[in-house]
Amino acid sequence: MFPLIELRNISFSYTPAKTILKDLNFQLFKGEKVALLGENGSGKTTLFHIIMGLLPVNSGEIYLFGNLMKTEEDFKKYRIKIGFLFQDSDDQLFSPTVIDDVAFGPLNIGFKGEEARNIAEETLKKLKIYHLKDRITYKLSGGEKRMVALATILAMNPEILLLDEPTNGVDKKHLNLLIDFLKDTNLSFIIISHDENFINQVTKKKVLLQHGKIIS
Amino acid sequence: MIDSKFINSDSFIANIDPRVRIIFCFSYSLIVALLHNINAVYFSLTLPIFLMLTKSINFSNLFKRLSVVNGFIFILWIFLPLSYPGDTLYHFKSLNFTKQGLEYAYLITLKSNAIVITTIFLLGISSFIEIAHALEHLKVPKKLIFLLFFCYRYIHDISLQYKKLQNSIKIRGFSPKTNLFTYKTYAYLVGILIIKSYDRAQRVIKAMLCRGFNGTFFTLKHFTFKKSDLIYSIIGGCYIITLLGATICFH
Repeated sequence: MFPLIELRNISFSYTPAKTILKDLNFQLFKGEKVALLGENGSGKTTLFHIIMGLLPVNSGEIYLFGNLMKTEEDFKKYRIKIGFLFQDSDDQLFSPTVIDDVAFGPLNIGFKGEEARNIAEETLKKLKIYHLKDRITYKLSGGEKRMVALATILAMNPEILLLDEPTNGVDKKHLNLLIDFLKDTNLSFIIISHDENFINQVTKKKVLLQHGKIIS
Repeated sequence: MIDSKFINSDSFIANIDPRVRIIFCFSYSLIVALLHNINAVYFSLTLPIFLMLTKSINFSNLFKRLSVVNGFIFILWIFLPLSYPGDTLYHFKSLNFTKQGLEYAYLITLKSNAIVITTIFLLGISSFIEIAHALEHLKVPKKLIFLLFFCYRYIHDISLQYKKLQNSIKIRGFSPKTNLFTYKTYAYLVGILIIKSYDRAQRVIKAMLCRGFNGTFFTLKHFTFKKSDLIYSIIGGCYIITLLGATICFH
């Protein structure tokens, strides 16, 4: 069985003076639920951006679903199978209403209007936030924004989730919804979070990013 | 237009194909903007008056928007009579207020209000994604549409960001004065606003790429050119021709 994500000897630096990741190796297999831990500024979010092909690496190889990623075209093909939840939901929501935003991904991958709407509605129901359907995205509360942002990526039917601090600004009600979803899902995911209690509830494996390397 | 809340979505305008509305609105605005004859401008007001009679809008919101526009125009009422050459109506020391300057300010006021009201009625009903999609159908260059989309997206973001920063300096006891410290503080504020906006723009485009965005704006609503759209197009075309004819006649 090949890993869904495989990083081989990845090195990355924003400036020559400061290396963020150094010869980093990592694998994520189907069904794995992993917590990525590390201090602030250790490069956790950067690592997610690298996996998605949003930042070019200095050296090393990235394999997604067993395929070596070399160009932007390669990433384009596979990144739609990975749902990336950004740290700040405001970066993720840009359409006027919730339903428009959730349907944005399905429309991009070729679903027609009515199909995309159905997918969006089903996703909202699954996350128990259907009542937000016609709300204006920028007027949602922090917790609602987080859940809608999660819906936007789930609507694309991803095989992997990369969740960057999903509990940020989330109230207890929405946190419970999030925990229920992550416990029940069969999707593989990596979570960045500083909330130990949350991590213990939803993940089975923890890895630590320290000094540019992954330590299991 | 951001939340489309001040237009009644049951209005007949909402049922007109957005492409027809965009073309008509653009043609009308272009012609009205180029008018110089006051009688022709009076004639062009027939459209905004008709649109207002349809009562498809929340009037208090419309007047709020118009008050912003007219706030800018008010400045013209002060400066144009002073700077426009013509017959002196009144003079105060070395300042001459001209009749032609006042007439010109009046003309600009009418034209601006006519264009803004028409635009609000015809385009304010659509979400921005819908307008972007319609512009794509009208073969407007994609780069221009992106530019428009991101302007729309960030004007709101930047204003929010500005309010947050302003609050953060307020809670630390800042009160603006006419001194170097105040100018420096505002310079920092504007600087950080530009940097933050740039960073936000980078993150949003990344989020869009992650969701399969490939340069085309799709919408849940699909445009179908109906029989009624053809009728509205003909009526709109006739109105534009009449407006052009009236312009030539009044000249």
